[in-house]
Amino acid sequence: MRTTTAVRAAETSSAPEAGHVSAGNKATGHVLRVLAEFADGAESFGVTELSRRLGMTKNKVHRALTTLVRHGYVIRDETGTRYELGLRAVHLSSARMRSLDLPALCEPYLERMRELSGETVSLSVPVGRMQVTVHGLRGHGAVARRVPLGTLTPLHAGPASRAILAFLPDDEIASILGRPLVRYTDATLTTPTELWEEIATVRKHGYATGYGDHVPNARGVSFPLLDRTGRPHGAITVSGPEERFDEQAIERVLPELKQVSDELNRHTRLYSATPITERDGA
Amino acid sequence: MARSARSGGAETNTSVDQVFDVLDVISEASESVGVVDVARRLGLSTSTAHRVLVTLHQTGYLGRDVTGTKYRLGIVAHELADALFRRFPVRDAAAGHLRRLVEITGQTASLEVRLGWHAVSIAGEEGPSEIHSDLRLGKIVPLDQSASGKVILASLRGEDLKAFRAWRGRSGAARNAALEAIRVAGYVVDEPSTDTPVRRVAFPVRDLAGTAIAAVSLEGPASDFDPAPASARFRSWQGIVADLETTLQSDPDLLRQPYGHLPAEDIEAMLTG
Repeated sequence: MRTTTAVRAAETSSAPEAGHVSAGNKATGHVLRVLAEFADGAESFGVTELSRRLGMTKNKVHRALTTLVRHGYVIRDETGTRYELGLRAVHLSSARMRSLDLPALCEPYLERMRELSGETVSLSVPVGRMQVTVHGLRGHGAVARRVPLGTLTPLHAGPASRAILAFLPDDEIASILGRPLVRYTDATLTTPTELWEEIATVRKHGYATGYGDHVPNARGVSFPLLDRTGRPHGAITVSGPEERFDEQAIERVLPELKQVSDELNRHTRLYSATPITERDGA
Repeated sequence: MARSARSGGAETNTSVDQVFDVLDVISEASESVGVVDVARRLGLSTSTAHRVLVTLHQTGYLGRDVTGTKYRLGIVAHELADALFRRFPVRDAAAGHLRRLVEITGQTASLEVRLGWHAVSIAGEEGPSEIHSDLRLGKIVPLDQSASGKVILASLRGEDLKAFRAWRGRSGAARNAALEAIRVAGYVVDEPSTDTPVRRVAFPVRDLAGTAIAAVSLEGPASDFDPAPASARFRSWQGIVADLETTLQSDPDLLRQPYGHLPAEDIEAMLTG
């Protein structure tokens, strides 16, 4: 599970007094690990199930659950045999009832992706049948792609567009592909058939690759930022000139970039994306 | 003082108590909190406070602010709260309706559910109004102290109302006549006061028996937000909520209240204990 590695690290690295991890620290770690499982979608959990998911003995799970029940973070369900999230968790939300400020949320992640790749990173959001770049950080190299702020691009061309397009509902995609699709370069996909194939690929990988279908020389990768229903808020794109940011260079940083994107998606998934409405754009 | 002060006695889990106490302090604060403040508020040594904060940070329950020296709730905390609110089917069912209300009014819309003797905000969307809203997810208010709470209270059966009054311990709160008027009207408008500069209107979201399982609330600065209950636009807001009610009433699963089977005292203990 997501937090397992982090929590295991905490358990073993907590400052040892007299050279060993105290029982209290271990119990704390177990309690936090067990509680974190309840952030998952399931309504309730059984002890055996939790023990399996966490790689913890049933005894340890049971003790952690007893503590969590005592504190109100977990309750027994109506059958008495399974456990549900308790109401004490209501205090774990201090979020102001604010709309998602996507650029502000993404900023530190854009930084990290730039540090990892050295290339230009940009944030795009859908507007009607287009997408627009709303924020970005220029790459470190002497030659780095400019962040194309404010440029409107149709959703079939370029990695950012395709990353967003692929995660729209099928009927919206069909509507977008039902109109004439502009060709930018030889690599631009301009038929619905080709684009549906590309969409399948993007959905499978969870990201879109840049192959010069919009800006001829550009190579890179674009990650969708999804909301709680799986709809895209937008996409983050790492892009550089093909002489430098070639297939191998991308492959080298892709796993770490994906990790950063996954972390960011945990946050964006807590919000609902505003649906694209026809009146918003071209 | 932190909500939980459960130490005392032969406690084998003192560090667990400390962890939850620290979590309470951070979640109650409106801004990020530093180690020294956490230590002071809980009467802990700074090294203990630091150790607990680091544990909570490493496990994702806390995040750090840009300076890296202060702590706020982290992704795991937010996900747990979200998982809690998601347990109420009305939350997802109402999402589109809340959005529509924000679109047409430009104000902040929220959804409250009844839990024990409180109304708890489990969803909402801020409108473009500039005013500082004290509305937040997870906000807990006694039923007689908010617009949403009052429309819920107004729909309760006699014995529930009596039990509420007994819990509240004040005869002044929630007079019968006032509540009856709210129930008949189907809404309440709360005027701004010295504490809150906003005007609020709330509508009950009722099950087939007429009991409000939730309430939808709109709020805005008094200068900007005039519900005008006689107007056509007010009726359109009521129509949106009525639409939500119809959706819920047509599917009993959507009306489900995940903590409805628990006695009020247990709910109260978890909310405020």
